[in-house]
Amino acid sequence: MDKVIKYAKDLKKLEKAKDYNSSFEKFNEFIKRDAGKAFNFIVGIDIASYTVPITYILNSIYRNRGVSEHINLKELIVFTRNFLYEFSREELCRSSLYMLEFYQLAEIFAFTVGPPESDRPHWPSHVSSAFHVDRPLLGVKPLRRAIQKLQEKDTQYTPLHPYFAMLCIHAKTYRQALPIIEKKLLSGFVNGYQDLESIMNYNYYRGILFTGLENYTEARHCFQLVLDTPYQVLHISQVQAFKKICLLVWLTSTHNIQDDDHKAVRLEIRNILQSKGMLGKQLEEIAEEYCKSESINNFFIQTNYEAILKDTNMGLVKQVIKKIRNEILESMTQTNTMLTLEEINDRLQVHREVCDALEEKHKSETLKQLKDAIMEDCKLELTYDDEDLNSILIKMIKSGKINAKIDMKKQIVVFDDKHTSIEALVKKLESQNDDIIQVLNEVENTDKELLLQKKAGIHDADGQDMPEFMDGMMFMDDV
Amino acid sequence: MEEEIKTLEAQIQSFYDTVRDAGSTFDPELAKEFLETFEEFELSIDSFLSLEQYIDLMVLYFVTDNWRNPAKFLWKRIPKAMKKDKALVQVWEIGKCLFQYKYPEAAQAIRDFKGGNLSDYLRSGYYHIMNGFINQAYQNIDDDTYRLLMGFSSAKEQKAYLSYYNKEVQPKIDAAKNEKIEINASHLDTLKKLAEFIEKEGATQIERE
Repeated sequence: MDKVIKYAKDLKKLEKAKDYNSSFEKFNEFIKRDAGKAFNFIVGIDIASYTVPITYILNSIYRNRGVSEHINLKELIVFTRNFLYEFSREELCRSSLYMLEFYQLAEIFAFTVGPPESDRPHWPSHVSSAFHVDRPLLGVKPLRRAIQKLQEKDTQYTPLHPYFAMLCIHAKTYRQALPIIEKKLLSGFVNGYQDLESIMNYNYYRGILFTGLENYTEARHCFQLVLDTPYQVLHISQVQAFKKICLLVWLTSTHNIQDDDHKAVRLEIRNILQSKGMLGKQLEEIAEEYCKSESINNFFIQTNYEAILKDTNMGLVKQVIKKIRNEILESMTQTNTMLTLEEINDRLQVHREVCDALEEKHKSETLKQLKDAIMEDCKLELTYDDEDLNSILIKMIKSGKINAKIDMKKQIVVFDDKHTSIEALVKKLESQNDDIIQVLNEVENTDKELLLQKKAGIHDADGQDMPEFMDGMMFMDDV
Repeated sequence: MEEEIKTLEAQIQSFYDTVRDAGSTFDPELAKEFLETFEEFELSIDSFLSLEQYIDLMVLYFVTDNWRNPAKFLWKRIPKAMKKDKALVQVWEIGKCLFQYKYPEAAQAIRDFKGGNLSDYLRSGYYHIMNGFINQAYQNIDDDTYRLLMGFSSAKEQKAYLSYYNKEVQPKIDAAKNEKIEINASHLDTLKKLAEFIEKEGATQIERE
């Protein structure tokens, strides 16, 4: 044990990370032999002062499958949480090697508390499943805190972002993820490494989180970023992202009352395919499966529920069906100032024919159950009575889909959407302006930093002075 | 982290005291703060919340805005063993009724609900939400429907409630009709930000020229 303490203290004195790494290889042998004592040692010391040795020791403990018998798993998880909360950023930033060890520790911790190995096809080989605890909630706050500590600005990406997003999805803490995922990322972390796949995975997880929060515009944007990641062949995440985009296009398109066939939706999907060039041709088959419909009613009949169920996209399909029904009611507000409940009922009865056709086409038991579940969820009953219609209207009024008031005496619904829609539009424009101003300020600040560096005489990678014509233009071109 | 947990526990206790002292008056801002503190507490501790804490957290979701998905996800997070508890099942049934906009059933279930530490708070929060909704959705409403939506057991109870709150409910209906857009501090802030940005852009362009 004395040797363990001596080594840990000696490690702290080392200046160069290269020496640290080679010394730690010897120290690792002590960890394997006496992991329990090594762990007891680090529990008792100040985390901020010994951040680097603790990082290495914890990594060694998590990776050595044999040591799980000597250490209390609960205590190990609790200590790791505290460590991610209280580590010293300055200590880690002394070298990129230290930072790399820290990222690997965070990755191991995320998988240790995350979903089990059987649920994850890409379980990293260096993560021991001997320590697995299926409680992703334990990792959310420590990782969030670690990200906020590592970032110099809140628009900076760190390699911890994808692990944090993954844990939030599995822990079902969608709202608690917002402080991190709602920030637009404009720069990478200086002392770290970021590979294309981890950034793509982060955007994919972000898309799922925003879908869960019903922010479909942002979700679509995230999945589009996944699709735009430059790979020569389609990555599996890109295929999954495209399927979600096909459904999100329905949810985010603005309904034009003239466009009963939703041509705008199909055009958008065609544009996405064309922008992908050769890869778009491979995605065409998927688009065929997901977006065959040529009209509103046909969406219900032609949608391939089997494929959608396999891809766990049923939630999105239900939302699309609801949206289409709501659009029918919304379109009535544009042509009528008031309608009787009976008239609304007649208009919605169009779905009865659709339901009959659906029943006829999908006769298998599994799909019938599916269809019943969808209809139950969307309240698309075969016949309406006043009470059902009342509850649909109440839903739409409460959720702000239509602006109307029910007059119970006269049994009519009075529509009014002028004032609120203009105010909502103004608020939307204001928030977009704020975003644009923030992005342009960031770009300008980075531009100024680069100019200052040039004036201080810092050269480019080839040791050449920056060409004069590129003064102030370098970063703008990259943007 | 332990210090933060202690701080959060103290804040939560202070919220409980405030709610108890406020009686049947409902403050939406307080509810929102209470909820956010409780959520942070759930993320901070190493173990699961207690049964009463899960019930109280669910109640807080019901009385705040944009509660549907968070409440649904909370139900999925609760350990399976705890889901057999009668009070927890009761509060989830209330949530299901609210989710499906079955207000009369929800009102009845809220009347019968006695679990957790916030059952009275749930009732006052529900009245607050329903008053807002009725103002939004109805031009006029008959007594029976109003009683059904609010969950009053008799006309006498309804009269007692309205006479106590009449000063709040009546002016709100009138205020909604006469609402005008007025310039306030947030509009001025936005204008100021835009003006500064445009000025700065103009100055930068002149410099470059």
